[in-house]
This record gives sequence, C-alpha cells and structure tokens, in this order.
Amino acid sequence: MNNSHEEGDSKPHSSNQAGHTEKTILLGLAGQPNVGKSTIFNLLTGLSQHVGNWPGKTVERKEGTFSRNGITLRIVDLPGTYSLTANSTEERVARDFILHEHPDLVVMVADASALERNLYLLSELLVLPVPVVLALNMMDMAESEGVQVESRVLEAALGLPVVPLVASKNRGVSELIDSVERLSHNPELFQPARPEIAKPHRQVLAAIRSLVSGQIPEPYHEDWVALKLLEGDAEVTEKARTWLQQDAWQKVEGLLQEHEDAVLDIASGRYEWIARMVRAAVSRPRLGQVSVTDRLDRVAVHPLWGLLLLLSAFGLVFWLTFTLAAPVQEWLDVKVVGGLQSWLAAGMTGAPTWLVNLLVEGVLGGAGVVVTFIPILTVFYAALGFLEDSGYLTRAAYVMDRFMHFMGLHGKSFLPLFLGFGCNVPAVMGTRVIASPGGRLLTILLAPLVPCSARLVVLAFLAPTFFGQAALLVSWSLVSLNLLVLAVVGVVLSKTLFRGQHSAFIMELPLYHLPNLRTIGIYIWNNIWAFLRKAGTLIVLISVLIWALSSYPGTDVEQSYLAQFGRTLDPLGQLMGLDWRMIVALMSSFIAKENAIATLGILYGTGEETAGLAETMAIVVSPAAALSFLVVSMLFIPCAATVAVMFQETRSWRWTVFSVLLLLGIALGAGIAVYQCAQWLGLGI
Amino acid sequence: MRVGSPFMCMIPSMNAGDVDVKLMTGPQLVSLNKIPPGTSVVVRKLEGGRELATRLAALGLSIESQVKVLQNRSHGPLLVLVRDTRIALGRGQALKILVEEPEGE
Repeated sequence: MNNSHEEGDSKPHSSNQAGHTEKTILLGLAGQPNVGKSTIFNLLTGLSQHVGNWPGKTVERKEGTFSRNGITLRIVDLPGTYSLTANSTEERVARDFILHEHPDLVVMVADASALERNLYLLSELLVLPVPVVLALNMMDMAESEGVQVESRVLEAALGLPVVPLVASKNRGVSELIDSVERLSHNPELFQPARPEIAKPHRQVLAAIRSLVSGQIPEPYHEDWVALKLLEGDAEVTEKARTWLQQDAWQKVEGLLQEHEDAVLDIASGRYEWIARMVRAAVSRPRLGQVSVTDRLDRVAVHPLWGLLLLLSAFGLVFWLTFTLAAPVQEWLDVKVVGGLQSWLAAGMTGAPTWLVNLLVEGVLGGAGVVVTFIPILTVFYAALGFLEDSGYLTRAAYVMDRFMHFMGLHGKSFLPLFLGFGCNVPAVMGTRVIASPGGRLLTILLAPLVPCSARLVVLAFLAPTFFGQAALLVSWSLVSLNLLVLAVVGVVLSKTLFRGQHSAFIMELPLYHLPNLRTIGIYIWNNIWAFLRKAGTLIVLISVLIWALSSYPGTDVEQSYLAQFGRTLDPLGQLMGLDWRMIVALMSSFIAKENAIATLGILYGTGEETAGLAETMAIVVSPAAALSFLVVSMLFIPCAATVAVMFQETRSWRWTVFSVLLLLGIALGAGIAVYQCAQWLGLGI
Repeated sequence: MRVGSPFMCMIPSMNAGDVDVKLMTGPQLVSLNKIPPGTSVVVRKLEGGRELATRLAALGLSIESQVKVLQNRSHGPLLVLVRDTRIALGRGQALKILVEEPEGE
C-alpha cells in the first residue's frame, strides 16, 4: 500500500528517484506496549506482513515490506517492551535483533501523552549501535490529556529526528518515512545526546569497562556490556562469565557485589537525563482537568461497578458469539462441508471405496471441523480486539486480580482463561500475555477446564433430552462445576507444584481510545491464520486416524478397532454407568468436542440424523448415567487442537501429557462420583 | 555524640549515635501500601531485588519519582499514577516501594 497522502512537495531524494537505485533498508520498529506501534506497522505493511515466531522462542515475529521511490523498507515489528534489560523473552528478542541482525535503522514509537516513561526505552536504545528515529505517536491524545509536545525542540535536544504523528488517523506516517529515508542517506543527522551514568557510579563503570576491555566478542560493545553488568542483567552476566579470564571475572564480580544498588542509580540517572531532554519541549497548558480516562475508570476499576461492567461486557461477547457465529458455523458444517463431501463422493464413483471414505470422512471431515471453528473465532477475536484496542481489557484484568490470587495467579491470567469460553485453542495461545513462565504454565494447564463453545453445544443438545424441565438447572450446574474444578485445581497446583512462584503483578493501564478497525481486522486475520496453520493440519491427521480406527476391520463400526478398544474399557465405564458406545463417543470428542453427538448418533443406530437420537437415548440411558456422561464430557481431556497448541506453547511433552492425564483423572473421578451418588439417591433406574 | 560505656571507644567504627540521629531526623518512610487514595508521594527506596526494581523503573516508577495513589483498598491491587502512566500494582509489590509521606501527616 502507499501512503502518498497530503504531501507531494517535499521529496528530499529526487536524485535517487531519477537514478532508479534500488535500495533496501532493514528497519526495526521498537516501542513500549500500548503506543500504537502495531497501528503504524499495519499502516505501512498492510497484508504484506508475515507472522512467525522468533527462532526458538514463543514470541511472535512480524515482518512486512513498504516500498516508495525505489526504496524498500523491510520492517520488523519488535515486541513491545518497556526496557531492554533481559527480564523477559520479549526484551531479549528486541535487543538481540538490534545486536545480531544489524538493522540499518530503528524507529522508536513513543506515546506522546506519557513521554518521560516512553523515553526510558530510548535511553536504552541509544547505547546500542544503531541510528534511531523517534516517532511521537498519539499527539491528539496527549493534547486532550493536557500535554503539549514541541517536536522540533525535542529533536534539537535529543540530536535525532523526531516526527509527530497520529497513526490512528494516518497523520504523519508519510513524514516518518521521509525522515527514515533522509537519515539513511545522511547518517550525520544522528548526533544523539546520550544519557550518562550518575556520578557515584561513574568510576565503577570505568573500572568494569577496563576489566572487560579486549575480551568482548562481536557484536557486543564494551561500553554496553559494562553498563549491563552493572545493571545486573542476567543474560550479559552469564555471557561475561564465559568471555572473561578468570581473574578479571573475579574482580568484576567483586565490584558488582559491592555496588548492587547501582541498578537504582542507573535508572534514576536515565530519568534525570530524560527530564533534561523534555524540559523545554513539554508544556501543560491546561492543568487540573479530569481526563476521559479518569472519568471512565471511576466505573471500570471500581471493585463492584467494575465487576458488574466486566460481567456485562463478557456476557455481551458471549451473546454475540452465539447469535452471530453459531448459525454461520452450522451453515458451514451442513451446507459447505456436507455439500463438498457429497460432491466429492459423487465425483469419485469409480475409485475404491476405502479411498472415497478416507477422503470424504477422514480428510474432509477433519477439515470441516477446522473450518467450523472460524466463525466462532472471528466473532470472538473481533470482540476481544475491540475491548483490547480500546484499552478496556487491562481494566478487566485489574478487577479480576483479587480472585485470581487464590490460584496463585494474578489479573493477567484472567484474560486468556476468559478466551477459553469461545475456544480453548486461543486461550492457550493467549497465555503469552503472562510474563512469568510459572504463571503462564499454570494458566495453560487450567485453560482446558473452561467449558468451550463446542462443549456447551453438546450440553445444550443433551441436557434437555435427559432432564426436560430441569435442563437449564443441570446445564448451569455443570458449567459451575467446571469453574469450581478449575478453581480447586488452581489452588491445589499453586500450593504444590507451583509453590512459591508468585509473580509480580505490574501492569500499565493505557488511556482509553477509539479502537482502530484496521488494527482489529488484522488482529482477527493473524489469529485465525495462526490457528489454521497450527491446529489445522493436526486435526485433519487425527481425524484420518480415528476414521481408520472406526472403519477397520470390517464394515460395521461395532466390529471396528475403536469399538473393540471401547469394550476393553467397559469395566471402567461401568463404574460411571457408561456403556462402550458412550466411551467411544467420549474418545471421539478428542478430535473435536461436538463430535460426541455425531458418534452417539452412529453408535445408537439412528445414523447421521440426530433427530431420533434424543428419544432412543432417553429410553436406553438412565438419568444417573446421562448425568455422569455429561459431567465426564464437560471435564474430559482437551480436544486435539488444544493439545497441539499446548505442546506448541509449552514446548514440553511432559507438561502436555501431565495436563491430559490430570484432566482424564479428574473427569473419570468426577464421573464415578456423580454416578455412584446419583444411584444412591435413586436416579439409576 | 553521647558518652558511651568504656567499651564503646574501643570499637571506632561503631558510631551508633550518628545512626540514631539520622534515623530520627530523616524522612519517615512508609510502604506505598499504606498511602490513601488521592495522595501524592515521592518514592525514596525500592526493595525486593534488582528484577522488581528494573521492571518498576522501566514503567516510570524509579527513585525520586512522584506517585499519586488513585485506588487503594484493603484488598486487591493498587492503582497509581506515575509519569502520566496508570499502573496496577499487586499489594506484594506495593509493600516493597518505600515512599515519603507528604508534609503534615
């Protein structure tokens, strides 16, 4: 896409344009979280962007290109980080990119309404060997908050290009590119004022620097390594231990122990520098006004009103998902996938039966399941993208923090768990917002206990069959049971396996602003594409496998391997009052939860039609067994897609298997308990 | 300096009197936890290790920064405003932030 808007006169590099010299600039886009960095990235790269992972990391790497006047910008969107100290994977990724991939330039996006805090990242960037352009975003927000920033004055103070912009309204982006081009042609425009360390520690820094001198390999710089050592940076300390000769390292270590407090001084020193830089550039002409954010927050972060607002916001999301997505899902399932299946079967009349069945039932059946996830995920991501981009979602995390504490988690874990009501797959992927590895893992383990929309569909279908009038009560009880189990498991795990891993809850609550539709659209697209890539292939493979197990040997499902396997589990099933058909239905729900209904349909001999299933089952199955079946299927092991993503995110088979076994144990235990109790109460006729 | 026991002067580094005086006349430091909403305070000390300190500093909450408490109830996290940024802080973290109470309290 092209941003040739409003400005056509000042083309600083017309000579370049005439010469048709192709030039590629590698540009890193850095910035703290919530500064509109992705809006700028989306504006520049549009759909040319490529989303992957940083090698060996679970952090997303977004890349895209922008071309103008024979110059191509290869833009890498660095993870949003508040600083560049290796506290988190994101911070490590961002600085490793600058150190190892040698970008020609970094554009740092800053939120003009909180300039001082934003420039902290700049003070760290300026110590790295790369020229920086400062993009002052959200100038309009700053103004409405009563903050005025003179970008020219700031530019003079900092000694680097400063470009004001309002990315959400596509203002200033073109000027930003001009500035990038200008700097890449005239490197001397970059004469930054660099922050200095506070006096008390200047000598120590010099001493460390001379101790490491000559022993630091490329691409690291001695100044930077010395500074990071003094800051107590874990990664650099680890590296320096191997780089330095032993006596030098011992001296360094001694100095570092002596000056452990240096980290506080370094931070204060940076803010003193920042204060000097912004002194002349920032003014606050309208002091004392109450901002929109403060007014909205009176409700949104209130312990009671905030909780009510949260419940209604999420109720709305839920309602939207079911009223908008469910009909589309059904249409896709029946018309599109079903139509495709019969079209393929009709077109392959000459082919061997097994091949037709493999393609129609195995491959297309599995692909169909993947496709039917799309409407639900679209609506869910749209609603969530809206809430997130507006700034509300962090308030939800803030309000829920009190409750999450019982499980050894904090507010941020609430966000992915809520996503789980739509689908557990994005819930597991959504745990990326949690900084601490322990908290993230615990949240991943808990996520499958949130009843996803597919399980709710099964519940909504079967509950009225068995319980008539009481169906609604039973449904609510079962959903509550899931959440209760989630809470208990969370409390138990946090007191045992995850003991002592209480991580700090520190979260910025950004200013509210109108969500950007383009940002939301690309957010939906990226997430769905990621889901299709990650879960899609695996679901199809497992679908083919289950199809094979239920088709061989013989033609009848009752003689299949799957049925044989189901029968071997009969003794276990009897404890829960489940016959082998229900066991097989549960197993088939592993592919996708809604499969349970289709499988029951086949096994209880009513064919694919589910219409007769309700009556048949109501006669054959006792209320106690039905209740036990519902309990087990609500708590059963996560579906294949979720398991795949759990592995993807934890990168550990041990934790993935642990989760599956844990949920299996819980589900079977609850099934047995419910069945035995129900029988004892006289429901088992 | 007060006159100590005869043993006192045998240990020259033990200037106990000096320390006492400094503690008594110096600013009264309290945890951010104890600061009621609507109050502005100055951060004087960050405890709880390097990692917490660097994370807080990166969000603007450094030594000598001015913090306004927006919300602080007996349960649940605090909400503070520092360098034009609203930050949610767990009570455990707020406990480690020592601030100087404003004059007259």
